[in-house]
Amino acid sequence: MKHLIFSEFKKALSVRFFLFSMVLIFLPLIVVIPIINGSYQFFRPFEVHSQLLSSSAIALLFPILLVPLFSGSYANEKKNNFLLYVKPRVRLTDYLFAKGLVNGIVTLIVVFSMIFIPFMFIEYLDRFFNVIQYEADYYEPVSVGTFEFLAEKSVFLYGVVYSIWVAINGALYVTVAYLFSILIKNRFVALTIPFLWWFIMNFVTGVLGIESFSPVYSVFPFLITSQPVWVVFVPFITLIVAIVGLLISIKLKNKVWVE
Amino acid sequence: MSVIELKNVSKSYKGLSLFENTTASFEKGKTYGIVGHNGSGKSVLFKMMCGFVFPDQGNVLVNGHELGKSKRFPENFGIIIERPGYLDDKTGFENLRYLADIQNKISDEKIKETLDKVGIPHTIKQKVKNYSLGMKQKLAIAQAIMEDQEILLLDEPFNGLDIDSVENIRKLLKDLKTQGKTIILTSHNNEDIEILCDHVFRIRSFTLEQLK
Repeated sequence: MKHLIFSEFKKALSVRFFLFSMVLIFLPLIVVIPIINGSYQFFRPFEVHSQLLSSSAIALLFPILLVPLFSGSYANEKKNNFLLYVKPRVRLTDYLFAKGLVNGIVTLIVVFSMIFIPFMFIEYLDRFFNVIQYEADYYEPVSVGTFEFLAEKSVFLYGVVYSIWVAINGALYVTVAYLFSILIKNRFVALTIPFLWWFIMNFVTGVLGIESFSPVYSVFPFLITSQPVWVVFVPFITLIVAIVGLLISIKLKNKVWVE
Repeated sequence: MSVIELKNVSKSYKGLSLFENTTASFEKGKTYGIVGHNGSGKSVLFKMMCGFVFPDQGNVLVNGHELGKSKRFPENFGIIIERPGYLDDKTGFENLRYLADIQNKISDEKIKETLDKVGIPHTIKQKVKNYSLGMKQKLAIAQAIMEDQEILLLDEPFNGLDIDSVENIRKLLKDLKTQGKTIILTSHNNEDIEILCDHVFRIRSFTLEQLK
């Protein structure tokens, strides 16, 4: 199994992956900070961080941004018949497990960095550069939503825990895309299903007036008032149930193993 | 000694009956040719031999082990079935390295040596998406032999190859035979079959008919 995992890491860590990760991590910081700086009143650094995430495309397009990292790999291997030549060398279940695991881990690391590196810059490094303008005349801080209670204990703890939370959600969304790519022949459909879920559920919960349970406010809870922390776990648990359902479907679908 | 045995095998594929009560055995160290018209079931036969599909009735035994019962996929098989498989945005060497990493049995040097043997210079940095059909075919042959696989199932291994490459691959297969490998191949070219094969089977009337 360790050879398989090593091999999948080698496949995943390509130049394209590195460049795409750098764009995800640094582009919001480079592009969005100059736009929001001066356009909003900021009292605390982590308000800038929350505004950065809600003003950039990250919150809107979250699942689809992560799919190009690695989850299309299986679909490509199937399309180009590469998988056929894997089968005589290893049990397909082991191969799929290793690929899914690496897919989840690399996404976890990139998404964590995508949230945590801008946080570190805004919270700790900017004080040396003074790029961001803060309101100095009065103090009326804006809530950053559900995770505000962490910042009250420790701002650094808020940064770490919140980054881990987004990273885990990111890993789960790419896992869903990966599992659909095993189940469904059309890779475009398979890889866009998580985004469609994200988009449609945000719309549906909004229409029903229960937007606090929407996927976007579970992961990026900045534009609604603070909710009890259990609220964010409702979409999260739904996602885990979906993954379990997909795993059972893959196990039962004979075609996956025969073809 | 039989390395592969088909015992009373019947198989339908996508609603079409391909084999009925077929029995055949393949001996170690020999080269076998399978001939038959398009759609006669050559690829399905290969898929049954390496455990990708199972017979509806009867058994396939590899080295005495029944596929699907005591084994899912047999070990030490080098295969080409239907068409080459590759990662198109990687080089030929990288493709072979990824496959070799799965079992981690061979070194980079062995991979380079195999590429040179099949006629792809290991120094070329071209991605496989830019390879010609013939080069993709050579890459498929390379992955089938690079780990010194004992049994080779080669479905149309000469597809897309130019005359010089055909000669080179024929020589390579003869060398492998002298090393004791069992080779089962299909070809639409009678010359390939005549030159290389000790025994020939034709797929006819839903069974394997021995011609030689």
